[in-house]
Amino acid sequence: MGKARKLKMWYQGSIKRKMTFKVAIYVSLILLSILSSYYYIFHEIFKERFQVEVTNVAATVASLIDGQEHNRLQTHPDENSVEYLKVQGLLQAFLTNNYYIKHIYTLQKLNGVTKWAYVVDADTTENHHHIGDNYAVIDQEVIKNAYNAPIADNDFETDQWGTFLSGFAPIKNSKGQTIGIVCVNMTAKNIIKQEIGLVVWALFLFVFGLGLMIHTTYSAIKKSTKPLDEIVFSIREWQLENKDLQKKSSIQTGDEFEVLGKIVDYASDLFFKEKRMLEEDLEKSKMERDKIFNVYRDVIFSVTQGKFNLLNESESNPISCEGNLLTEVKIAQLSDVNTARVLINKTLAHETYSPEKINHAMLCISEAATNVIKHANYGVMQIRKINNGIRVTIADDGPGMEMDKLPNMVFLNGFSTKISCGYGFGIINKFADKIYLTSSKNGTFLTMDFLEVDKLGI
Amino acid sequence: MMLEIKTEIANKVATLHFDGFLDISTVDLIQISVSKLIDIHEVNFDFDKITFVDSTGIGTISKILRKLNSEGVTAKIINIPVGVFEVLEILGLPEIFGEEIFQIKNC
Repeated sequence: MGKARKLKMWYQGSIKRKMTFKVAIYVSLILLSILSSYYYIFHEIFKERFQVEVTNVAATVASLIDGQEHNRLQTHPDENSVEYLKVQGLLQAFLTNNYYIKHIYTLQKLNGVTKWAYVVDADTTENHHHIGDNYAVIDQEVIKNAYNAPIADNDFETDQWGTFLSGFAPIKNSKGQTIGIVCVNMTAKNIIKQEIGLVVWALFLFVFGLGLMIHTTYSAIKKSTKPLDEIVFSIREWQLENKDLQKKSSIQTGDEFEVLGKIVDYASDLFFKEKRMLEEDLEKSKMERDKIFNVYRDVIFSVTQGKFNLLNESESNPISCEGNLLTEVKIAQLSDVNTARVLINKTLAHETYSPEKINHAMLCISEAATNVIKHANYGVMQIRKINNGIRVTIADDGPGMEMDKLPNMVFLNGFSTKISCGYGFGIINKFADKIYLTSSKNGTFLTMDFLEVDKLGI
Repeated sequence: MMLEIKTEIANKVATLHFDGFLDISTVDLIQISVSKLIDIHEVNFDFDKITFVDSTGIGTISKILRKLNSEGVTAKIINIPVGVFEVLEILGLPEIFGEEIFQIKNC
């Protein structure tokens, strides 16, 4: 199953294969029909030659037999008579001298029209035929004709001794009357050998012809579909985005391929130009964004007197790792806001912060955690002990903040303004001692430091 | 207990006693309690037992005050703890609704 599918994929993978495969099928059909007709013709020729040969042998034997003597054997059947031995000797001479003759004997016509009997058989073994033994006629028509002139059977006959062809010739008396028939059975070993040779030769021709055909067809198709390969290659390159703009396909076949090649060149030029323009625009807008980000960063930094720091993503990493992690809590549902507050309350109380400071920190945490609930799915708050106080980091997976809204969020506290976004930042800016903010499409990362009172401002 | 609200009504004056904290997880309760008030002239929000409030809580209070004002209902917030008032002040509520409706808890 898997193998068949693989083969199918291989076959459908390229036009060259498909065309070659189809040509191979047609060519082999043509070759097979040609070769089989040749084989048939040769077979007929061989047979005809063989028929002539066997007929000639029979005729020669018949001409050497004395009609009178043979006739006497018919009237006085005696297998020890001089006549019998003489005819038998003649037949045996042919049998021993011709390897292909398997049986040779004479026949006489009985009173009926269709009945024939043996007279003399060259065979002297136990199974040999005696005078008057019934002869089983295979082809009545042939025998009938043999009565007049030498003739061979139309087709080969196969029995337990092998494949034979029989030849017949009339034995005539001095008056020219036919008084018997000589029958020669010749084995077809020779002709079979020749035919096997013919088959082998035909197979060789077939294999060679097919191979040659596949080879020439494949190379011809390969040559004619080369432009297609080039086009496919160039589109692949285009897909892989390593197309060299200067490099054009050089198809000059003057046919549809050339047109197609030009279209592909044109399309790829267009595509890459557009792409480059878009990339340039993107780069430009990124630079603009960076510029705006830097302006905001500087303005917010100086207005807050170094308290509020906007950071790049790369800059936020050391901030998040500083100090020792005291505790961590996830922020995913409404009740987590209170949990986070309780946690900071406990931590700061343990560190002997003033109740007022603790309240302010709880307020900041409440605002930051509420932002996570409102704008993201999931957030994590970490409380860390740093050198001079407590650091709280809150990371979320939200869509990030819009930088241009940040100044309003930080500096406009109240509800007097129509701006509805994050009044929480005003509170955070007021009560946290140090703030680091990173925001991108990957999420927002807010860090708030609450410093110990006695170390503040030193 | 996150937040518990007890409503007392006398002579078309409703007093809502809050006990707990006011944040994103409890603001819905205030909305529900206020929406239940019918045919009332005056509403007092008693913040005596409020332990904590953040900008989300204040935002909701602000919305409710605005709605009550537009309906001609007098609203006051009484017994505000100092820490809570600080947050109200930062967010500018006295400025918007008038200082007279905010009554700080006596220490």
